Amino acid sequence: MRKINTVRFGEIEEEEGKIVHFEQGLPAFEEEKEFIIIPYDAESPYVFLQSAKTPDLAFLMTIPFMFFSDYEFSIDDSVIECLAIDKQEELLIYTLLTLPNRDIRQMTANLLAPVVINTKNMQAKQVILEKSAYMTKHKLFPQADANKGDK
Amino acid sequence: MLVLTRKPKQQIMIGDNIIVNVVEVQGDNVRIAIEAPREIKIYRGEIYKAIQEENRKAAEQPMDIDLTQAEPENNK
Repeated sequence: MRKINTVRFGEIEEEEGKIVHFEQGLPAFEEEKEFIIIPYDAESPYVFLQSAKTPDLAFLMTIPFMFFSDYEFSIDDSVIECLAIDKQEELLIYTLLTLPNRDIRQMTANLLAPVVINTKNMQAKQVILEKSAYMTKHKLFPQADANKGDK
Repeated sequence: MLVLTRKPKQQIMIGDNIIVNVVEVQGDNVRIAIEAPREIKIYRGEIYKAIQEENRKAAEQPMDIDLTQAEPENNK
């Protein structure tokens, strides 16, 4: 077990086997190589990616396919090699979320750079989809603006 | 920082196994061909920067957001 200090969740004990390893960190957080995944709650599509090293660093993520049913990308050979991927079924795919001005209806997903986790070895990478048309900001609730006046 | 002047068709070697070829120059545009081992990831600088910036923003989430009202709407 590993003791992990977090600002959001207090002190957490996590099995070593559940720690997610980003060998190269994440862009802008290259020194953050170990994270744990904490569900927002049991039923929720949201999870936190909490740094094992920095108590106040946690990203909010979701499973992109739950919001963007036609989201797709291919994983290139260098990533397959880097994460030692065998089977697609062993992968977990998440996308980082940004929440402007505390307004959950304005939340955006970074579909250009999904987080790919190989659950077999817990190696992970934020993959940059260089050749895709996806962007860093896709609204989770595109209807939110249109419905503003309804309440 | 090393600054070099190159002409079209000339190369730059980085280490033993990365070759940068200047293919052609047309006005503002420079076409560059890069030969590098597969494990070396190559990105356009602005894409990597955009993701760094988005990650920084993503790291600044408020602590106490209520997401129970933000379930998927099954939007396309």
